[in-house]
Amino acid sequence: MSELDKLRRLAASPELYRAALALGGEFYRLLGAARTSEEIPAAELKAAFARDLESLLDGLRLDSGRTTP
Amino acid sequence: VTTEAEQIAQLMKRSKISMSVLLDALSSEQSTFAAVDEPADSGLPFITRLVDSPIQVTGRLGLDGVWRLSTCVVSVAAEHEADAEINAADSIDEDLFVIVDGIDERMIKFVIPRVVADEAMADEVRAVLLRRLAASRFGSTIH
Repeated sequence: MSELDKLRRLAASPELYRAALALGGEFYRLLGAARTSEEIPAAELKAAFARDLESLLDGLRLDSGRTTP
Repeated sequence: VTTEAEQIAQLMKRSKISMSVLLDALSSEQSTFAAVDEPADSGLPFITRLVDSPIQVTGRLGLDGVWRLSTCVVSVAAEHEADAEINAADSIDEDLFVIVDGIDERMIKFVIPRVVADEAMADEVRAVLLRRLAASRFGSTIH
């Protein structure tokens, strides 16, 4: 299962997603691992995860050719 | 008030199972299940909660990402108590991770023939189990 698939799996399970956040950074570790292994579809993740992550996702280099301002 | 997510996090922390391992395991194609190694003091303890299954299975997700089984709980509640039983199962168990994915269905299907063939089971329990199995979608697993 790829790191991106794991993020998608978390997006489909609010309890697991919140548990990942409660685990002191498990979610961000997964996000970081996904960033290094493949391109993350920013819009998909923004739609899937809570609004509070939008600022974080905005700050990362997500889609191809897009960089942090 | 502890939320379900917080309880899951506490269980995972206690059992040293990472979210990455859990997500991999929830998506695994594992279809056969060995017994939990004794002593069962490591890994994530879990229980299945398929509302239309007459049995529940407990076990542990090992640090290696493999699901192992320890006990099978056969409900002997009368049929009219089924709704109350399901409601009780909906409450969060603080000590067990409740599986809500497809892997639990594979566990149930793996265990049912073995439970039915268990000669140590009391006749009255077997009768209730067979009746409830026949009324469930898992009835075909014993034919």
